[in-house]
Amino acid sequence: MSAPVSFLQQRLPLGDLLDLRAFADVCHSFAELYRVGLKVFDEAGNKLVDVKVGNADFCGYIWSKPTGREQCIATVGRVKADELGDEPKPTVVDCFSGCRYLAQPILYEGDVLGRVVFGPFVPEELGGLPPDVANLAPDFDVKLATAFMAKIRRVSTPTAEKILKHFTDLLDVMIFTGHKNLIAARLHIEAVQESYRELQDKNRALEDSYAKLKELDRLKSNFLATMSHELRTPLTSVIGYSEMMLEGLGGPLTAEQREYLGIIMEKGENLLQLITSILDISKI
Amino acid sequence: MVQFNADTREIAVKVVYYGPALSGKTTNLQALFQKIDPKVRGRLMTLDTKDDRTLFFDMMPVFFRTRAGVKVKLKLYTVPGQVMHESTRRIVLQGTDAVAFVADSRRSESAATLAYFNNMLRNLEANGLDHRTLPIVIQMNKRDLEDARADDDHGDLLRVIQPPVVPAVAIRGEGVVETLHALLQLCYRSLDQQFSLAAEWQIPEREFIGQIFSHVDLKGTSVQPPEALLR
Repeated sequence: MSAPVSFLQQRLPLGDLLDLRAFADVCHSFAELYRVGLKVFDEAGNKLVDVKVGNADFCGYIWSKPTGREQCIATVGRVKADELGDEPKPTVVDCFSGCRYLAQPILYEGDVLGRVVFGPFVPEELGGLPPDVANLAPDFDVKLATAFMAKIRRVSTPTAEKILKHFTDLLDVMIFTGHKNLIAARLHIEAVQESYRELQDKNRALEDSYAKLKELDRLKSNFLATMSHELRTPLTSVIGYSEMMLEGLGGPLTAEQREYLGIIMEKGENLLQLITSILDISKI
Repeated sequence: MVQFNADTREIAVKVVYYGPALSGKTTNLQALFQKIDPKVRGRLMTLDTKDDRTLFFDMMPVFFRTRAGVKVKLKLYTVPGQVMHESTRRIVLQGTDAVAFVADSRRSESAATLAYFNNMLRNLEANGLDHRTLPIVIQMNKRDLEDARADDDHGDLLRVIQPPVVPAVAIRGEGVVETLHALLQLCYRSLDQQFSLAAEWQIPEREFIGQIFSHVDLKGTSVQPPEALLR
């Protein structure tokens, strides 16, 4: 269990799987098309995308009343944090204002990566402003609020669910593609690193054998130098004494002895030359 | 190595399909993809294929929640078969919990298959995995081809270790479920021995196997129906 988790098995946050800027563009065009707002949160509750369509005036007006603001914050908290389970199904979250949100978990490989919040929209069956809203504040302008609400798309919940399903299907493909690209890129990097490590190991092995060869070469040269030097010393005596005998320093010689000594000297000189050339080679 | 997350009560298990090039690893995964209920599996991710050959690997997740509330994630991978992708193979093999070796049954492929099998044993070792204890199943694939070896002619692969051998024709989906079943059974037992799945995580073998295979189309396979397994 101490081994690091392979990147193939790692669970990645939603933000790493999507190109957030491109994803935001897709969300905007999607929300524009259906004229309903859209929010996407990751698992930790960070807002990745927030598109508002049509509800700015209405929500802004409600927000301007202290009681409205309180209740608005409560609704936002619920769409963000209500338990959604891990089934690909939408949960209805109703705002006190009569508007409605759908929240659905974003599932990938069985993991919940975050949630999509679709809305607000006005449920088709809603008659008018709920009485609670009209009584939010003494100065609450029902006519104005109703006019603002009319800017929010009115849609039946089943239709909204279908639109949301369409969005989560798209999102699933985007996440899959992102995951695939991410894995391909990481695998490339890891494979290159692995090859680099292999090359480094081979390089090290080569360097080691090179150092060993150099040392061997040095030992060989030393050996040759020492050896030829040691061989030369006795040979000098062999040649020197032969020469002395030939010059008659050791007494008179017969013709045969002279011939033999000549051969000893000649061969001795040959040998000396050979040893000298070995010495020269070892110097190289 | 299997990952346990006690906080989220999750277990992630990694299964790798290994084998020589063109032995049918991807075909195995494709057949399983067809047979496993989309509710419990993700998409089959195939990375960079060129000319129908896997350059990197394929991956398919299977997931379920046990009655004790533990989420089990099973990820099936294939490795690229071509010799040149040695490093990718090692990366994919990292920390695997079980290996299915997909062998080409044809006589003409015997030498290559054996070499590849030995290469796998080496790679397992290089990844710190012990082939004597790691759950391994050999699938003798392509049983339908003329040149296929006799049913019991796979002694050459059993010299070092003696894993179960399952015959298959992956292209027709035959033996694919049996291979996974045999492998997961070994895998469960190995994990249970190391991490007490039954005692500490309340996942008995029957449930582990049953949860997966109750979502697999078992028609025409020799795998026991999961109702019997789950009961």
